[in-house]
Amino acid sequence: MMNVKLAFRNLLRNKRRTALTLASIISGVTSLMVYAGFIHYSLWGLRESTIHSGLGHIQIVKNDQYFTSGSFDPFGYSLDRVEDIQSLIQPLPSVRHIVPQSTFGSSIGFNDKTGLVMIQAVPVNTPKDLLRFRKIIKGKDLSQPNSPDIVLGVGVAKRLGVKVGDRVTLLTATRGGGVNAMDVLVVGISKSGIREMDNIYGYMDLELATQFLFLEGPSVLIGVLNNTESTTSTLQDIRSKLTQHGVRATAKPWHELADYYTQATGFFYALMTVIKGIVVLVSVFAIINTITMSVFERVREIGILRIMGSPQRSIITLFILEGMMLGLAGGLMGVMSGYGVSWILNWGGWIYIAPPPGMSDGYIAQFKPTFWDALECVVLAAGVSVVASIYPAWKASKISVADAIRFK
Amino acid sequence: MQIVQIQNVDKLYGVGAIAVQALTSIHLDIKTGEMLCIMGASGSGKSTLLNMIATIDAPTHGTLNIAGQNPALLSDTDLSTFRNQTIGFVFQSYNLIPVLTAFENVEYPLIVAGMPKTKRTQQVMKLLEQVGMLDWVHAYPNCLSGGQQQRVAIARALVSQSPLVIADEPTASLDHQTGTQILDLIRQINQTHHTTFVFSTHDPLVASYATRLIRMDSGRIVS
Repeated sequence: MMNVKLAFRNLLRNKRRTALTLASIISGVTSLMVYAGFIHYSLWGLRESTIHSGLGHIQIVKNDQYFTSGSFDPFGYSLDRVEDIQSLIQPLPSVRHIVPQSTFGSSIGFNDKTGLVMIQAVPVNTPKDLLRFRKIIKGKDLSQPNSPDIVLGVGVAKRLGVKVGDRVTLLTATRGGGVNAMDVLVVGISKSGIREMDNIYGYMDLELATQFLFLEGPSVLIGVLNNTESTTSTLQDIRSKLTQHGVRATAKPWHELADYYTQATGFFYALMTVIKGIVVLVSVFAIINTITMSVFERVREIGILRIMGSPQRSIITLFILEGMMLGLAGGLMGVMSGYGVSWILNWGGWIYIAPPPGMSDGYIAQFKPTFWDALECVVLAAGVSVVASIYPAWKASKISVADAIRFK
Repeated sequence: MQIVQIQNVDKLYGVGAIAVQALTSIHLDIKTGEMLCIMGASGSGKSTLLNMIATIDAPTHGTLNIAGQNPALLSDTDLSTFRNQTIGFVFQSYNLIPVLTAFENVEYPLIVAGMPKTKRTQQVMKLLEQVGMLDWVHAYPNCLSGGQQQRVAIARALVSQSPLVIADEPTASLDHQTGTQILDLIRQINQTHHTTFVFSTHDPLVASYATRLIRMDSGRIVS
């Protein structure tokens, strides 16, 4: 307890130096908090837009091979016992909707232009949740069951030069190896924000697609949950229900299917690590400098404490406590400052982020640091401060008592 | 009974051409309850000898026995405990911890010794009363005069009831009147508690308080 008192009062001895050290820790922690808040918001946005642009939270398919070749072979992967699966899963409290879907590749022609499109076929009455982030930017969404209508991604429409009201021709292989073609009316142009999707996807009614390809049934059941955080637990429930009822199907969570999200997460967290590293380095140098200066100034006092019976470990503890107090105080003030700066930036809405790689739209940055970010920052600041204090504290403990009391 | 036994002690600082022989062939026994004064010019080896007795410096050759212990055989922790329980220190420049009050400065050795708070408080207050500092219990050193600081330093040296107190020129920074008061206080404590005092000085007045006087020159005891 006396060491705590001594450490605290010693920090107040040279207020300017303590304030400067605190300032460097606070600025580092503030930048970490703000950046962490930005990453969380950005990744949250990317996650939700990925899920609600048609991927869903959980996909149930016939088997794992579907995810590698199913899009090109919807006939080989038609799900068995679709209604049984729906009745098993829909009652789960975390499940909001179970939506059947088939995806197939098709050639698409308009006037003298031909391209390729992946058609995502879902019922026209599909709950808005699944496609919440797919915006209809021109025309309207699908509304008539079994009507030969199509909504095209903005990239597809642009490359074909198609406008709402135009008719395009789809040409695809059907069950048994035949070929089928159909003229469909472009009723809408959509944008998901993910350029990769907008350049390749089109949307049509599942019933129409089933007839067009002579499908036996949907190849995917898409689970939309009440919240994304319950994905893992719901996935376990779904898998155990499928196993219990002898249904031969595979369930996969969204994050195993969203390659772009995984890459973006890796990129953002790599950047975060670099920033953390810089903050840690700045804090380490600031703390080492402060504690070393403090040791130099107090050589004689260290000698006196040793003469009065303080062992070396007590001197080490004293200086480490000083470092830890600096780190804790800097961390806590940095967290408060981080929340404050985030609030001001969110309130102002001044920061426009240009479209990230692979995205088609920029956005106004929002900063949402979490409690865990705050806790991590405080622990990091205190931990780094303790580590940075060890060397000068050890040096202090090794000062010869006789030399220390002669020190002027 | 001998509280300090020094046999054939040498102290050499540095090596080779820059080596300085600070102490040469020191033999000294100090009895419990003595007030031993070490006199000598600057550089004569007084402080080195005091540091040796205080176990804060080790001899290059020879053996030391302080209160029945050979400090060279103790670990850092044991030596710290030994100092805490056996030896009190008074310095020329007081050397109070500036961020602690007078009370806390005196209390510190007892905290290190692990004494319970109630007993600690009683003992500290008793010592501060004895040195006439009860009115300045909560004052920080920078608010105290030199004489007051030295009184607190003496209280700190005695609070652990150490049988041996080392005082390196304890009145050198004080005016004549305050110095005399401090010396009277030291003599009173010596007489009432039979505490052994070993102090160094240039001042004949200070030396007059001693029960035994030794003189040093060039690292040797000359008389």
